Amino acid sequence: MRRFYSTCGSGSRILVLVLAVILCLVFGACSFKKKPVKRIPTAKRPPKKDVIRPADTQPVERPVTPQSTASQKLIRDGLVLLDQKNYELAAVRFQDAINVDSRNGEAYYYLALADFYLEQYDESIGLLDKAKALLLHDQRWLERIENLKASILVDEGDKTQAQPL
Amino acid sequence: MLRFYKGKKSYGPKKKEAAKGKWTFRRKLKLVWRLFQIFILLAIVGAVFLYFHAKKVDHLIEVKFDRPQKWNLPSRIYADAEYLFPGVHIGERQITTKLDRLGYRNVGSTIKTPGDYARGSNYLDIYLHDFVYPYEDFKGFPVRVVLSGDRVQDIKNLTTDSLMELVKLEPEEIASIHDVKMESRTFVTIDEVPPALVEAIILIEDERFFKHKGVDPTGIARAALANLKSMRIVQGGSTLTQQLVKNFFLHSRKSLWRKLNEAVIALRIERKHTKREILQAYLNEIYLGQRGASSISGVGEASKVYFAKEVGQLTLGECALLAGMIRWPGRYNPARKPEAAKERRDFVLARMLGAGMITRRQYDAAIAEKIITPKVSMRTIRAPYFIYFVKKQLIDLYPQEVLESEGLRIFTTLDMTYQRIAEKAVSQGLAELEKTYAKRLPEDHAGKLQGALIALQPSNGYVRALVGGRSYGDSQFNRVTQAKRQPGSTFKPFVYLTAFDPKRAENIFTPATIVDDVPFTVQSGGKLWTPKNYDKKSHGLVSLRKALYNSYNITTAKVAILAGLKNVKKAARDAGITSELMAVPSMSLGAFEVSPLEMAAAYTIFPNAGLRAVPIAVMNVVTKEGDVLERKRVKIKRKFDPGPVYLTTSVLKDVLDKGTGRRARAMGFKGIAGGKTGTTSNYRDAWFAGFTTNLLSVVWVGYDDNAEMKLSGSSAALPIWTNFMKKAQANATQDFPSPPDVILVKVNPPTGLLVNRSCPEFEYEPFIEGTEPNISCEDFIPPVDQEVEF
Repeated sequence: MRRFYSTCGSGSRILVLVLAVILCLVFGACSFKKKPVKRIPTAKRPPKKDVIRPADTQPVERPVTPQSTASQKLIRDGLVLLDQKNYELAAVRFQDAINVDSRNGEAYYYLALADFYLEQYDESIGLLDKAKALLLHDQRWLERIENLKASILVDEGDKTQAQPL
Repeated sequence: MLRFYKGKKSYGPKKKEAAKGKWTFRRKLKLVWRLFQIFILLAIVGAVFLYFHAKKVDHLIEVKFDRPQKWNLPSRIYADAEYLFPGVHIGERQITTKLDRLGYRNVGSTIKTPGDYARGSNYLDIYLHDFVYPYEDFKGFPVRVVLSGDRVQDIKNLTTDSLMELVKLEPEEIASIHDVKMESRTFVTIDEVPPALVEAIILIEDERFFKHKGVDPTGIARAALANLKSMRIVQGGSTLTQQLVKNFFLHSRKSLWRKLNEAVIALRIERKHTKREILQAYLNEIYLGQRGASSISGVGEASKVYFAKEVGQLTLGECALLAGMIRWPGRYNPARKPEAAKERRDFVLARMLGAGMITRRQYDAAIAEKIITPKVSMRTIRAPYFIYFVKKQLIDLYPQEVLESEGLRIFTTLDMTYQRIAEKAVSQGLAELEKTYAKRLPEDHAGKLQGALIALQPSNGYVRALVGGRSYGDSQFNRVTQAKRQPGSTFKPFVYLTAFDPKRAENIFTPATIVDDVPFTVQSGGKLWTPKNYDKKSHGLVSLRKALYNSYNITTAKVAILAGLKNVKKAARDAGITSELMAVPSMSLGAFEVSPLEMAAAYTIFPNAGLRAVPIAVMNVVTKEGDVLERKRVKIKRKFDPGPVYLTTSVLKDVLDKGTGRRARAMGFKGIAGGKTGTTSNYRDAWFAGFTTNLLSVVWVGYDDNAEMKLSGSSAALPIWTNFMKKAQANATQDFPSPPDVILVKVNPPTGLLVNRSCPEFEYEPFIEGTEPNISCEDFIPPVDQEVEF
């Protein structure tokens, strides 16, 4: 057993040593390969671009100001009139809401809605474009705008373009 | 005669007497017969005449009096209403002046009735007027506008004691369209008139109104006696019906024929109409004074003018005064002669008390009433060029005679505060230019230096102010709508807008693109054309940003050619320029004539992120009954992608901050704004077109006959624009929003390429994503060999 061990031990030691050397060589070679190689420059590395997306820095929610509050009040009045199917007067209220705060995107949307009910489709589409430009960061509003646009196109008979979200 | 002579000779006294008697009898008989014949003849002629005259009178009554609408009611033109809400600066918006113009009465302390206002140290109380808007009737109520300094802090409804988000002031009447009679009248029914006023008028003017049949012999006799006693005319014998006839059918010149006619017509009217009808006509017809060129006719109009109220809202004292004024409106005008007016009112009240029409308590209260009238204002047409513009728009649908007679109410988009600021800016600006640049302007020029200003609200295209010239009295030519002038460099933004738009331009440009600003020559229309810069210099390599804000002609012409002249023309058309344009290089420098209105409409695309707003001046046309005949809708339409518009707008902001428009900053305009100067060759036209997010205005200065004035856009038009915008848009703090496809990239300005260590100078420049540079500044190749072909 001992002999066996000794015989076996010396042989295996040699084997282990050989294997270790092979492994060292292999790993050494591999690790050597991983080191950066100085290439011959074929094209310049693209320069670093310093980019800012100003649209992303704009707040999603508009700050509440007395002006926006007054404009929202007119929208609420207009919505009551819309419910009563008094579209003309509702349109006047939404128009006033725009006059008070020309950056109130909702006012343009509702004016477009009133114009839609009054079958003024061209005007309605233009107003929706304006609403979209102002409510760009609000997905919920964008969906509503696109849905209304689709309804207008359906009503106008242009079903090919009408793709509600 | 012979026989008589013979008789006289041959007969004695007795015979002579007898002969004379015999002859006298026969002669008398003959004379009587002759007289009878004449009388019969006259009676027949008179009867025939009276018959035909009565027929004529009846016809006259039928045509003029029996119709439902007895009077030509002038159409009235209104400015836009005004909203007050927290944050509004009442000083900037000139609210108290506006209240005066609206006919509100400054009562000093407590507001009691519609039309009253009172200013305290930290509040403004207003008792709002009733007003019939298109689609709705507004009932006035008292409000308290709580102020912090001059800024609105809160608005409280004094009836309900609740806070309100906003309150609306009714629109101002800016003009009325009269017929030749120039009568201002607000029609009222007899039911709308307070009984006290009707009773007072009857008492003072025709006590026996319900007893006579149009002409009152008793009254005439009594008046004659009274006049005889005083040996002067102290009383008139005319009944209310006769007064009505005189004002309605006849004239005020005194003559027997008129008096006779008056009586005949009065009798005929009384036969055909009830006393109630006659009284109603009288209340609407009676002359109650003068306001400017037009007369105040009827109690409805008079109560508005003298007391800022609807007739139904008059107090007893006011009723008495109005009744008393009929006799001599000029002498008892409460605004001009308060003492005489008070005396007259007290006299009428005393008569009413004496006749038992009012109680002692009512009398005492009415006597104690203070007579407060609105500020006297001569009714001159406000914003005359705008009115002309509106009338021109209406005339196709509503002919002049309809406007003069149907009492239409025309609601416009005009902002009277902006209009007044604009008028002042133009008149003062032109006077200032004439003073400052007297040596540069042509000597002894036939016409005066002229100017024009138009202001639009870009979000909806509302025309907010319009000044078509220096003085409407001197020249009615509207330079905003009728003048076609070369726009010069104010056209350039459309060149750059095309160039920045990858969908429109033949070559892609960005504000950072570098172009060589050196002279070049192209052949255009069979001729060689060489653009030159304003300063007669070439500027070498410049970015498009710098070229636009400094208004370099050479670069602009080059860019226009490289972007495609047809594309530039299409962009201008899409923006709304409808005048003739030709796709030739000189178009890029504004060689084709446009009107200031067209230019303003085209510029709406910049603050509107590519949406074009069609200018609107008339919002609604409403009948006197309140039916809406016409409603103009807001028309905005997307014409450009927001990205290229944003890039152009960002450069136009630099025009004010560091370019040809920087004088605006020096003059104290602080708002966030963009704009462009314009000067045409030989300095014939000076322009400035500029905008904030909320207001856009275009100013033109020049001579009507195209004479040289040697003034540039920045020295002539820009100061007027600045003075207008400084007041109208003092708080323009909103910036133009960036669209999602726009990125800011750090670039090296001299090269327009990415920054690195070798060229560290940088600026953040906006690009439409995908058009930004990808190479660094050290790889910059100057565009010296850039070829311009056309």
